[in-house]
Amino acid sequence: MKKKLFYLFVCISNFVLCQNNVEDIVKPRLSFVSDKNIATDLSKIIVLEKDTLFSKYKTYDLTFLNDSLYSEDFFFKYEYMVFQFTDENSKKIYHIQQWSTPIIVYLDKELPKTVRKEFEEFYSQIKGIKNLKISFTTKLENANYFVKATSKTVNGYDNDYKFPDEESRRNNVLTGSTFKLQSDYNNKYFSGILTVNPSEKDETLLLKQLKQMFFMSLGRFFVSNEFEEESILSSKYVNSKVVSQSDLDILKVHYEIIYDQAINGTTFKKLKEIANNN
Amino acid sequence: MMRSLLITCFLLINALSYSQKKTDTIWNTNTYVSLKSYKNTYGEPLTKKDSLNFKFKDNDTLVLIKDYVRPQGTMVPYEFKDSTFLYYYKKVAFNHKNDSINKKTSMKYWKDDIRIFFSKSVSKKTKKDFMLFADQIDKAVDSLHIKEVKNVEDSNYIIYYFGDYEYESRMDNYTYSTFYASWKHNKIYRTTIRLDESAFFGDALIQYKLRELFFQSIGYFVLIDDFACESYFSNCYSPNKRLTELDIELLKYHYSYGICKGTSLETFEGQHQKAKEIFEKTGHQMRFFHPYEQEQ
Repeated sequence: MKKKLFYLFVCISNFVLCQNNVEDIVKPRLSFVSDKNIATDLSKIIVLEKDTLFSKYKTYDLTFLNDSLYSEDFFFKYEYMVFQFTDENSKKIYHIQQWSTPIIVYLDKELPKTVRKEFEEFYSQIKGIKNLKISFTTKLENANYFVKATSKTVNGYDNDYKFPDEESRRNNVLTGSTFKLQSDYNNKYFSGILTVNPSEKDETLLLKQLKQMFFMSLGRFFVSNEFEEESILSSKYVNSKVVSQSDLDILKVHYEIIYDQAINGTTFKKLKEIANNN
Repeated sequence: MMRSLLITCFLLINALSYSQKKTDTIWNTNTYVSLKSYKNTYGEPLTKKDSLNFKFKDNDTLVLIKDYVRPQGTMVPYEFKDSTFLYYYKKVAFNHKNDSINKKTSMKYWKDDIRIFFSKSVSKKTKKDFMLFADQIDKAVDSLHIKEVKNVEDSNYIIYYFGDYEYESRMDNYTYSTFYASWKHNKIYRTTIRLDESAFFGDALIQYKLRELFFQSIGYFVLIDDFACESYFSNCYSPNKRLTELDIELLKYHYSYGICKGTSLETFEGQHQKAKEIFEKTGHQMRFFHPYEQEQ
């Protein structure tokens, strides 16, 4: 019995020790190529009648997850807005959601011109973030993100959702607006429609709502009243003309890697451990 | 169904030289089948006389079938593939219910040509671009033919949008874009794609979704998380989707005569094991018999 327990212990230890590579935690996606020189994994070879295919995959640099780069509060905030502090054992599991293709936005001509202009100016500040590109088009045909005006009642929550009072409902960012994003089977977005009802809102409020909703849709981020007022994901957002540094940092961390697989809170923590141990 | 499969995939050990060329055959002969195959195919109790003719080979009891008349068909050598290829093939071809691996799951395929009808809402450009993709598949895979038809009555594959006439009533309450396939004896005989044009508002998006659904539907394939997103067999989006060399090989293999079509995972694995053993022992290739007319 002692012997068995010993072997079990050895096996578990080995398994834990082996989880030091990103590839052990996030299964890499393979491309099969004819050129052996660009292959990264020679253990997986496919021999065809007229060709041999070698596998290759992209590797990750996790330095960006090192604690020394950002404050503890930063990752706390990040894990809230992405995972809601859930992990693989939670009843509802949240995964990192990312756009895996450049976002090309078409703004409905029904939206006020000044709102469109300021919205575009605001998001044109987001530049130089790896794997996240936002641009604008005047032709819907060329877009993969449609910001659409509607006269219908729209809300980003279910009809039976209960607010503590009418003021909370009215001030909620999801009141009068919603977005629907097309995702693949790997939590990656490739198109979306943000619908807003501009009636009963002045242009300032409309712009603020559009800015917040669009930002949320960049990663299905959650809003909190705990975040600083400058953060676009704060329910007390001050509607600044400038994208805050902390919001830019959120996007930098979120888009540094387009993950090959679905990443839940537990996997994210493991990746952070690797980043901090290496 | 089992009977059809057994007849279709009647295996022979080929003592002759290897040949890729298909040969027409009409045989009227005495032949042996395994006890299991006999029970599945004939279902009649064995007599004492039958038992006198038993043969024993490789721990299998073989039953003599006298004057067995094999239908007209072709004999094709087993198509060898390496273990890595087969690993991925099994993942994409056997679409298990609830993601739980079941040896009884069967692969699905089209036996007839695919004849696509587009509803009036589908633009000319969308049809043209889509058919370019369909033609690529048609050209790459010998035994799968795809064409467009103008009349719905001539079709067995329909592509339409939300709000159009409901060509597939079983999809009318679906809120997302998907396809619905019907099959008999694992042969797909009808498929319908229903797409939400308001969610896929540009031609590039429509094209992407139609191609993804179509590709998946031609073998009731599973899209997997092993391949980079460029592959049509991968379950992730890429603006650079293309039929990779491996995609084409997997497709060709799915429609190859060198494997039994419509088999369960269990049968598929058993046949490969058998073929491997035969080759190692004898250096000879196992062969598959495909009759021209199969049970419908």
